[in-house]
Amino acid sequence: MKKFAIVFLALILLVSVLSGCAKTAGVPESNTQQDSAVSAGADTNEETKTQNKEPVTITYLCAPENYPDRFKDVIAAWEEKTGNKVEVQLFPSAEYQNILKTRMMAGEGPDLYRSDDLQACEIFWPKEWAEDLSDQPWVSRISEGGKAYVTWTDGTIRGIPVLNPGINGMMYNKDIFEQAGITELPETWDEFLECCAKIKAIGITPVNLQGANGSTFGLSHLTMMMFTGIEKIYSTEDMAELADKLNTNQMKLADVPELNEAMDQFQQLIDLGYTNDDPLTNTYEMTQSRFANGEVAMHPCGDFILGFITEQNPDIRIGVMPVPLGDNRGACPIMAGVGLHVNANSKHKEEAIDFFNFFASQEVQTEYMAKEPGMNIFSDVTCEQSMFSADASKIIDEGLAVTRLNLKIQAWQDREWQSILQEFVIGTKTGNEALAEYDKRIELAAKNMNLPGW
Amino acid sequence: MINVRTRKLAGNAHGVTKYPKLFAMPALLIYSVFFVLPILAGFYYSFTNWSMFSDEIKFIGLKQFAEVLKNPELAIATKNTVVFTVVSAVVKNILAFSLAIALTSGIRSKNVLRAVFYAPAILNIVATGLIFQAILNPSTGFLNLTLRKIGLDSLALGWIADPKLSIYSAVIMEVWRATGISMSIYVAGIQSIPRDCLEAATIDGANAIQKFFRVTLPLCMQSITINFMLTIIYGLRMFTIIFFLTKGGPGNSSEVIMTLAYKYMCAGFNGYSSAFNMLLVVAIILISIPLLIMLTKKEVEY
Repeated sequence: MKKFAIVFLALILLVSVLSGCAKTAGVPESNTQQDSAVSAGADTNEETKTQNKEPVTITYLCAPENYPDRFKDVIAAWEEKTGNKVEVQLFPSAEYQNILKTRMMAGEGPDLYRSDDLQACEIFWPKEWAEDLSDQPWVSRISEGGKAYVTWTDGTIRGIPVLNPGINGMMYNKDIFEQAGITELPETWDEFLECCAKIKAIGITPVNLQGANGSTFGLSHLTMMMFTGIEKIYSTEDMAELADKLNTNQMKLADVPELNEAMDQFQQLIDLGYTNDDPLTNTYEMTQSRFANGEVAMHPCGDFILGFITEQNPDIRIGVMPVPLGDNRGACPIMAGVGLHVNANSKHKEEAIDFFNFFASQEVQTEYMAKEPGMNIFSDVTCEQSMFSADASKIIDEGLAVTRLNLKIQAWQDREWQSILQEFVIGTKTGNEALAEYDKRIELAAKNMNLPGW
Repeated sequence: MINVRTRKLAGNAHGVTKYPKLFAMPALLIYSVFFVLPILAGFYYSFTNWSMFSDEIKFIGLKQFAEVLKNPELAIATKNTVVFTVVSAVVKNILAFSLAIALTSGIRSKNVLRAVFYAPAILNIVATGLIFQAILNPSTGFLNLTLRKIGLDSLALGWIADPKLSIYSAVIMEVWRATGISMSIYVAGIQSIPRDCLEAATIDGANAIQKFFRVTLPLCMQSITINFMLTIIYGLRMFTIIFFLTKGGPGNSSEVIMTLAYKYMCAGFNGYSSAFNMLLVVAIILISIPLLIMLTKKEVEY
């Protein structure tokens, strides 16, 4: 009896193992049919190729936050036109870089991928990842202004925006400014402080500081704006020399007088009580509510926040202005925007570039911009402007817009800077100490990046 | 009489058969591929300059570790790791032991209570981190709002937004989350104490306190060893609690070794990050082996 029980149990085990194996063999086929699946890294291209001999499936690695509905429409239109398929693989932006990096280094990168900033990614990621698209037909259609955002330092063009390029500046509530009796925008730091005093007098917090863990980019945006003002104080040659010295370890950030002046300005805002008293618990979501509800008058950011604010308060009137640095009007950094790139080692480069060209065509771009107004890089695409981009055009025309941020420092580590700024706003470090600490972090990064001079 | 077939299965004179080895092979293979090989690879890469920006992987030897030791944040990360480990291990073990004693006495609802105290350990850690962020937020968090409502404003501290308290906030979360696990091991240890030892002590005139220190505690030393080893090693390796509660902030006031290693891995400095990991492995070995020897010596059997 015991022997019979053992044999019976062994047979059941064998049958279940065999049926489990049979099921596993069927799983990869069903995976290829899904449009946006979290891939475990399995090479589904090979399996799809054997199933569909002519149509090709190209992979696009993206983050859900940068995958708007209007882009889904573009993909659908291309699929219908060519019969090829786009397999979209979505990963949360916090993990996106790790996934992309791992796949690229393993030689299994996607055919198309997205970057946080299509110009700044030249520094953050290896240049070899992105295919040079400078000889594609649509390049000649890019406007002069557009070329400034998308061209890399080596003169190549390797991507175009998926989310509209934007301007970063001090976003302000026009109604609060009128209520406080501010008739002209400040052009010097003293005038800016006077505006803050007027706003505080009517019981509203002048400048919003967003520095909660996970939302610390609110702090680095403010410093980025003030640091960018240097580009309007120095001549082009002096700026190039400064950038070269900072990049080759011949000069430290803590030794640049204008950067120290910018940090002193930041300190003044806090000391004079022109900022909220809870910067370390103020999250991005709280910022959106506070700005929409008129609890704060100004917040340093880009137009990526616009949609969230107008959703809560459609009647709000918003403008954007540069932050003055000393007696200078300052400048606004231009973000090239979340970009689309072709993997230089793509297995289906021809189809990936074809999709790219389709997306860059005049008809597709015009329809794309109609769904979300803003700035566009092509000279033959007309579109409406958002509240930000309307002011952005004026700022660009006045020559106050600057591309290639963060003083062109190759080893810039924004997360590290954000963490140091948290210590700065609570008074643990002075402005100069914060810059000195950041110099140490940049040195560490530069050494690991094998940059010359470190 | 032992027949020939049984003899063959019984194996050689040492009593070890070949069948257990064969059955262990598949699991051993998987373990080697997914655990042992990556550890060895990590060990190798910690001596190289491997990064997202390097064209080739060059062996640079101990230079990588010298760079790690010069890291400006190493001191604070080491201090936080030690503080987190020691405080969480001590508090967890004291609380867990107390709970275990209470829940092995004659309380009627002890089974339900054991489940209640164990439940936090099975919750998703990301969700727990978000919940504690909400609870410990100094302005809008449940804890401070309650304290202010009942007039205890002085206790409404900065928690996750105060650099001096951020690491202790992580300790609070870890104690809440993992005390149940230690408690269940202590319960098993207390339940395995032979009743006749306790009865003999009672007959000899020992009171409750004497019974605890002379009988219960010594006979529980094995559970204490296991729990201390687990809590200390877990504390030294801590990453998830810190990452999902404070992300090492504000500033770097709650950074630990593992969050630093993760930060550099995310930046693409893989060799550098591996070197951090290796230093931690060496530290864990140097701490846990002497501790294990010391604690094992204290184990008794009556």
